[in-house]
Amino acid sequence: MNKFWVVCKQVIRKNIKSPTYIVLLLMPVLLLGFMVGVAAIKNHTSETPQIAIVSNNTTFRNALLKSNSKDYTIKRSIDTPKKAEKALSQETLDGYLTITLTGKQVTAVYKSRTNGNTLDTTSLKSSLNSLKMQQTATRLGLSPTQLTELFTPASFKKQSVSYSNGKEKTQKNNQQDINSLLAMVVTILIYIFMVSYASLIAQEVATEKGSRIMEILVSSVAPQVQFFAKVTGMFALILLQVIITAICGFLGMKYLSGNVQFLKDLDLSQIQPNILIILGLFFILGITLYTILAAGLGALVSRADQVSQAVSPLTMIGLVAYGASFVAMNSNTFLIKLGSFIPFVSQSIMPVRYAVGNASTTDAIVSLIILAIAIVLVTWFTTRLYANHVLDYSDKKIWKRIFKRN
Amino acid sequence: MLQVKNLNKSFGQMKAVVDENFTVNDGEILGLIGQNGAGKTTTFRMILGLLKPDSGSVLWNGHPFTRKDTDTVGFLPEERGLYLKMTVEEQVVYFAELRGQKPAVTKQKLDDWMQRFAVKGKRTDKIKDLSKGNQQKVQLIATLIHEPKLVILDEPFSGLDPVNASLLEDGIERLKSQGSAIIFSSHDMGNVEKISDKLLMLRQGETVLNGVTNEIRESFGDTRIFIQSPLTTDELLAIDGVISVKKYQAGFELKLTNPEVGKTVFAAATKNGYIREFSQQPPTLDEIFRMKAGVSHE
Repeated sequence: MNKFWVVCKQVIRKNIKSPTYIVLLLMPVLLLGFMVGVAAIKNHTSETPQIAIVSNNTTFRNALLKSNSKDYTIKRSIDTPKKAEKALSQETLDGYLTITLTGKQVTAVYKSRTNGNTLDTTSLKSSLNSLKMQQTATRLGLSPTQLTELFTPASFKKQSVSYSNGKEKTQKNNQQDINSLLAMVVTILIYIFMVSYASLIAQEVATEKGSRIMEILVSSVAPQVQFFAKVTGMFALILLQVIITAICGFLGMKYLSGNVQFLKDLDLSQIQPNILIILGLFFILGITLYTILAAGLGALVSRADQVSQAVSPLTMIGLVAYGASFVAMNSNTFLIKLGSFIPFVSQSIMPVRYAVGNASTTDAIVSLIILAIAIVLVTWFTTRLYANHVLDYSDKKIWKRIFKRN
Repeated sequence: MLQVKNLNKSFGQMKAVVDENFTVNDGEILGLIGQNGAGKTTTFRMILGLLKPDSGSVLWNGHPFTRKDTDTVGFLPEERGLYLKMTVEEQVVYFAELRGQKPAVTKQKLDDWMQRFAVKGKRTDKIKDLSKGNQQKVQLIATLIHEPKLVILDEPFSGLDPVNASLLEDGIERLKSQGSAIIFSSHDMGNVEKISDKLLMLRQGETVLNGVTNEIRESFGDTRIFIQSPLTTDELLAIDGVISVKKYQAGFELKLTNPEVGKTVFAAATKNGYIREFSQQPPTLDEIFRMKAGVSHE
């Protein structure tokens, strides 16, 4: 047990100093920095446009001046086309609106500088429309109550449902979006973690084998102990990465949700704990499966430079699973259903199916159990593979070695 | 005490080790010799438990050698390997820790060992910045710093210059005096002859020589004569019982059918009085090695 920790500590100590791991570790920090930067630049460059309103009808103009919007600020002092043109040419104004009332007609023209801040005209238009409606209503002798009645739209609500075991489950509005988004984020993370750490641990094992350190290691520590110690050390590194990623994610959400409309619209309180737990389990088990197998594959090579060759089939499967998760977002074919139960691909497909409501909780749990069984089998197989091959430097093809008896 | 009894191992059709037997007592050095592929590394791996023998047993102090005994072992593999990015200290501390020696103890001993092996470099230097010879010394220190009771060195002298080879010999002698049982393999007979108490020679897995080093030489009889005298090659060859004569710069080496012939040669050479050299010896280990390596076992 003692030596288990010696090897485990060594894996952590060695990798924590290696540039490869540091870059991996700092990736979310860099990504966060990048996103914050982009948001900041965007905020900085788009200031609220300064506009002026000129009209041949003072009442109408004054009414419009009262309307408030975050989208623009109105310079009240500019009230003639002449002043407006001057301000526009001096670039103190981004644009001005000319409103002409002829009889019952209201015509509005917005003239703007091409190099000025762009105005989102939606709120200006709606202010203008409601003003015109009020005027018309007054002319027709309608009371404000009647006016409200007239313009109350038909009630329209969206409801999403999902069926589990034939029973209908109502989900809150917008829940679907959050679930899909969550599943997407988790599958991306699973893929990135899987590929990075599978190659990291395979590299770790292959380097020791290639540099012949392995012979000293196995003569001091049983290969099985060494194998589990390495995997445990790797999990510690993954955990550190998860913590850093989570902190970055949390900070990112906090900062960016105030700046990015898309995130503002998400109601995070709507995340269901059961989805979070299922996705979390797939994340943990999926990465465990890949890491363990990769460690065994690393032991098969004779030289460190063969490691990518040994791991590539594994990363290939990971990539296919990742691709399939996008398909699973919108379709629920037999192949996708099947894939969501098969270890090595289920960790990417099932979370999506579950999140979008195509798979029940029971389905997800069954898939998780299959995945766990696969981990046990792969661990058993890989430990043997590792113990039998760490001292095998023959020139046999890597894939032949797997099936070779010792 | 290490006892190897009736050890057998084959890989497929190839017999790597056949019926191997030997004993190394505490404070004894066994030299394992043989050509490449003779079964030296396989023997070491079976002793260390890295390979399972087909039959036979390895006993350490009377009990089967198990994983629990690994802390008492110092093993230098034939193919050297170090973590190039580690510092000397980190490297030695790690390997010693794997053998159950606390880092603090290793750190305390390290300077002394580096001095003893005359390592050029500081303990904070990265392994990759050291010369190959110094890397090898660090590897040796990492093998021996925990003062193992059983020392297994696979080709420890390969790649060492004579100065460093003698430093290593001193190191091995020191462990011997501390009571360690030591096995080392070599194909340089010089080292084997100088420091081993016992000798085991393997040829294609089979033991061809096994015993105390001096006795092995003696067993071949004093059939070699180094001589400097007025006699010419033809005159020497004419003596009955002289098989061959090899001329050196300052004399001849004769091979005899049996030691008794030496007397005839001595008489013939000294019939006119003083001669500069007459030395009758058993064949050198080097010669025995080449003789045995060439013998057909079909």
